[in-house]
Parts: sequence; structure tokens; C-alpha cells
Amino acid sequence: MSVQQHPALSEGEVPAAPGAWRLFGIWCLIGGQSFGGGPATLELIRREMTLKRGWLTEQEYVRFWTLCNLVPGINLIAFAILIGRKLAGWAGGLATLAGMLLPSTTITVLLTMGFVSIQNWQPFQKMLHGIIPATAGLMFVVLFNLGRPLFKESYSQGWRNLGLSTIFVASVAIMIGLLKLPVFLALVLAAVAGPLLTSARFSSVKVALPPPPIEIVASQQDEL
Amino acid sequence: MNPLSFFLTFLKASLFSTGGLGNLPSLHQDLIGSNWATEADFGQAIAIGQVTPGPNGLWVIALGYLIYGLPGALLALLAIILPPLLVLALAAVYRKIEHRREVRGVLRGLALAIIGSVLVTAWLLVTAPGIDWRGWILAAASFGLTAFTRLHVFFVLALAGVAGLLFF
Repeated sequence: MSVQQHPALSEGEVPAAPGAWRLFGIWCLIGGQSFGGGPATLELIRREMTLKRGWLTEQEYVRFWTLCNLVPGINLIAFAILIGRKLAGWAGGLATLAGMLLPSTTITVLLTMGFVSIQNWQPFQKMLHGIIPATAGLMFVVLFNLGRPLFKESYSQGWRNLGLSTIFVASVAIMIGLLKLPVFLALVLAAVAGPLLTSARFSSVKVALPPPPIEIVASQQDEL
Repeated sequence: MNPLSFFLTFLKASLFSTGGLGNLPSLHQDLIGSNWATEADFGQAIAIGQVTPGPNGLWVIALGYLIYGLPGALLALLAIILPPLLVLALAAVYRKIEHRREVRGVLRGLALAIIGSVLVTAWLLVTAPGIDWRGWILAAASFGLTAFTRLHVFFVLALAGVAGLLFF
């Protein structure tokens, strides 16, 4: 992957670091205009921070995003904090976080308020009756998109690995769905058993894989 | 409802999950189990989350509002901000551990487990009381339209709403 040079800068020149308020303004726009969830927002961040302003190199972008995939919760929140902190210290981290969440959270709450005020209206009830099963359908799309890269990776490491992956998914489903175990307990158990998946016994690939290119990392986030 | 246990329920769900919908199974289990929320609350919150801008995962804020008003929305927001902050600690140690097999194994185990748990939740949503064969057709249609066409999720949900007006 080549280093993307900011078009307005000559070779080796470093663009001036932005202040926290400037970052806040830019991230308000990023958070407020990115309809379509994770992938759309991610691409918007790349355009704003890397291509348009040259504040972040492609390598930093990829490295930060990889880190964000390793922490719990919403990856884009972690991503905003890392980028903001790199550009303008702790104030910058706070500014990007607030910028990304303030407009989008406000819109979410206003939508929900509007929703509550008309929820007893008969035609709206009927519409909901159609929308709720449709959200379940969307959830199967999420599963499909989350599962595809994981099972592809498993498949590339042989049928034993593929079988083991299937056992992981099935046993978690059984633990939660049939045995009614707490969800977090099932997740912790799977994490503890996780090193089996990359052990020599279940993996035919002996060398460590290089970190995936950004397209694959992004598609794992492609929940919808 | 106790605000602290409300907050801790949301925090736990986010702390032991990744991605925008990874916290759904845990919240679903806890909130339905304690009768704080209904299946309909979940369906509505997810639908709202699909049409709002910003990262995936803001559906939790809609859920917080639906079951506990404005304080609920704020507590839910706090609960989704805290876990990703761990990235700051990770950034400090990651270079030392990134190439270890076990680290990648733990991550893969967790990712597979999240698939298993979302599978159960999706199953519970389509088999919830009040959802009959018409609901299954709508679920299948929205899966097909979202997975195999470039139609925006917003329009898929709008179509489902129109179908609801016509069928129910």
C-alpha cells in the first residue's frame, strides 16, 4: 500500500495540526451525514482525514482501525478517539468523540420521541407490524456479513478448522438458546477456547498470517 | 427501575461484545427476562437505529429512551462510550502482542461466539408472539432485498411499513 500524499503539499511537508474546535466541527459533519452505518462512516473518515487534509497517513489509518477491532463496543468510537488524540492530544480525542456522537445521538433521540408520540396511531401500528419482522430479516444479513470473512479464513486453514468454527457457533447458540446461560458467559468461554482455532492442531497454515488489507478489515465491519 | 442496574446492564452488554449489534443478545436476554422491555421495543429500536446517521450501534440509545425516557438514552450513551476507551490502553501494549497466535485465536473465538449469540436473538425475534407466516414472509423478503440488491436499508424498512399497512 503506497503512502497517500496530500495533494496540496510537497514531498515531506507535514500539514499543520488542527485545533480541537476545528476537529469538533469536522467530526460533527462526519457523524451527522453518514447514513448507512459503519462502512459509510469509515470511508468518510478516510476521505476527510487522509485524502482531503493529509492529517493521517494510510498506514496510520489501517493501524488505528486494526486496534479498534480488538476492543469491545462500537469500533468507530474507539477510532474517533485515537485519531483525535493523535492530532490534538486529549482535547482532540474528546473533540472528535463529541463531534461524531452529538449530532447523531440528538437525531436518534428526536426520532425516538417522534416515534413514541405516534405509536398508538392505528395505521402506524400496522406499519410497525410489518417493520419489526423486517428488522429480524436484517439481522440475518448481519449474521451473513459477519460470518462470511470468518468462515472464509477458517476454510483456508483446512476442514478441521472449518469444523471447529462451526462447533464454536453452534455451542454458543446452544448455551444461550437452549441452556439459557448468560450471554457474556458464553462469549467469555468462547474467547478462552479461542486459541484452539489458531493452534497447530487445528490449523494447516504454519506461518503467521500478515495483517489483512484494509478492504477485508472494513468488510468485517460491514454489518448492514 | 433502578438507574444503576439499568446502566450496568447496558455496560455489561457493550463490554462483552464488539460492533454495533454485538450487544443485542445480552441486552435482549437481560431486559426481556426482567420485563423491562418487550420484543416490540427491540424491533422498534433497531428500526430507528437503521435510519439514524452515525455509527452502527446508536439503536441502543433509542432502546434506552423507549424503556426509561431521556435518562435512559443518556445512560445508554455513556454505556456505549466507555468500553471503546480501552483502545487507549491497548494502543500502549499492542505492538508487543499483535503477532501471537493466541491473541488472534481469542479474537476469532469471540467473533464466532457473537455470530452464535446473534443467531439466537434473530431466531427469538422471528418466533416472537404476534409474528405469523406474514411476518416470516416479510423477514425473508427484507433479508433477500438487503443481501442481494443495492437497495438502501431505509427503503427496505419503508417497504415493510407499507406492507404492514396492506396486510395487517
